Amino acid sequence: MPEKKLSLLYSFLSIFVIIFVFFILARSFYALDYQWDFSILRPYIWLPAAQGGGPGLFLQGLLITIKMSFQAIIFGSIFGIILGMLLVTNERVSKLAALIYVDIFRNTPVLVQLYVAYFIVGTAFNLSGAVSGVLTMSLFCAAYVAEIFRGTIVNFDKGQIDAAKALGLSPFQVATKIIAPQALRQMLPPLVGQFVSLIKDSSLLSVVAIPELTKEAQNAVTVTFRSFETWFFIALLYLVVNTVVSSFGRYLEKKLSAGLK
Amino acid sequence: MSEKINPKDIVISLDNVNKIFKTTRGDLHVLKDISFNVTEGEVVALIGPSGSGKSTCLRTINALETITSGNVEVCGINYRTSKLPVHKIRRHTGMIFQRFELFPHMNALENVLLGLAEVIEKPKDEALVIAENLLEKVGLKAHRHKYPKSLSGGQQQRVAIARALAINPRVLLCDEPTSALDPELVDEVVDILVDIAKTGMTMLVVTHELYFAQKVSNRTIFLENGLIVEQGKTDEVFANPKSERLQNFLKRVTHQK
Repeated sequence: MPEKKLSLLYSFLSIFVIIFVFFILARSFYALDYQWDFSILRPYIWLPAAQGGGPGLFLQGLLITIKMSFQAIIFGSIFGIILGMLLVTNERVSKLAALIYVDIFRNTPVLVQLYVAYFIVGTAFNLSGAVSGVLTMSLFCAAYVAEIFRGTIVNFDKGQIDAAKALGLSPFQVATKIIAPQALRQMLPPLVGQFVSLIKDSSLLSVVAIPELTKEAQNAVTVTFRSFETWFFIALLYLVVNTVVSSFGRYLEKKLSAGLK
Repeated sequence: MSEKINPKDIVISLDNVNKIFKTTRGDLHVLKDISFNVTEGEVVALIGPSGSGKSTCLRTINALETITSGNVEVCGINYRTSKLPVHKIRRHTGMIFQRFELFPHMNALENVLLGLAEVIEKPKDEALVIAENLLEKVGLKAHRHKYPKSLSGGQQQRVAIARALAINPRVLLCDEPTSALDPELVDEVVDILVDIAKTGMTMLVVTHELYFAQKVSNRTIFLENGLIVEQGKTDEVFANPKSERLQNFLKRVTHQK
């Protein structure tokens, strides 16, 4: 069977690539003449009893990262769906405005958006770093959510919409009873991907002196000079948070697709 | 034979309907001065080659397709002049589609219940009784909790028929209801549509299955290139086609079989 042979070949190739990458990494780490010492991070994770105990700076930073990303996801999704609705309307001016907004926020670096929000708008309106930070991330998240929304709605099965109209459903009923439940499920995978990358992008907030995870890591490195240990540990924290988010997304997707398979 | 028609009994009326699609390669005139009436209890077949405009014509009746000029009336309500929103006028028509178009996120029963609950706003328990009766009528009561994906094409179309009848329409519009079905599943759908026609339901059926048109309809309208070429009693139209174009069409279609 040629198909069976092909799948065997793929399995073999995958195992080979894994072993090869592992070998490269193992060799690189072995060649590195470095004394690893992760114990140095202990007070950053949990404060020593002498200082009263409690979460250390990394965990505090992680909490701020989670909190600000969560706020940005909420605000960004709400605004993004409103923008997305404008993108699919036939009203020309608001459609064009939404299109320009989406293009600007998707095609410029977040870092520059953050500078504008913090140093220029923030100075004029006396915004704190946290407010300008969440504002930037929300606006930027909204542009992506709007595009995901537009893509899903534009590609929605026309036949079903015809059937819903033919049944005598009002436009609002068509949107809420037919399109929304299905579009939500279709939008979920790209949305979760967007949220995960937003959580990683929140590390940029360190440049406006917000004490989130990346900023705390930078501070720790300047004191301990242990950048390898610090960044590996920080990466692990991001990995844990994002894995939780993606797994939750997958769980929701499965739950929402009851009957569709 | 000229029958005296009581205007009250006219369920559908098309009056000089024109439809022009604007395309990048110029205008496409798909319906040319189409006029006909369908009266209560009549079953009318719209036949014609593909691209003749028969589906477009059907879709103007529930305003899924807008018209360029002319008038379409359903139960005496004119889409152009009525103050009612379009979706309220559509309540008087039920429609079934070539590709069934069941809502995939709802099971068979929920598909039938939707119109009862949301469109004609029946109380829950009453809606459930009506929906289950309709599913029984199309022979699918046992499958009511199945989702469309796990039903065959014929079963899906039967659920779609129950869904369309649920809102108690004055007319059932059928857009090529058998042409997406595997040949062995055509009969189960045809039989149900014939049964429905026997109950006195007014129907307008677009089809290119001539035996189906013959079996179900009292009157046949033959469309070609957006024009009504010939119309009359089904038996007469099929037995003695007057126009050369209909003769050719019938010859072509029967030879394919």
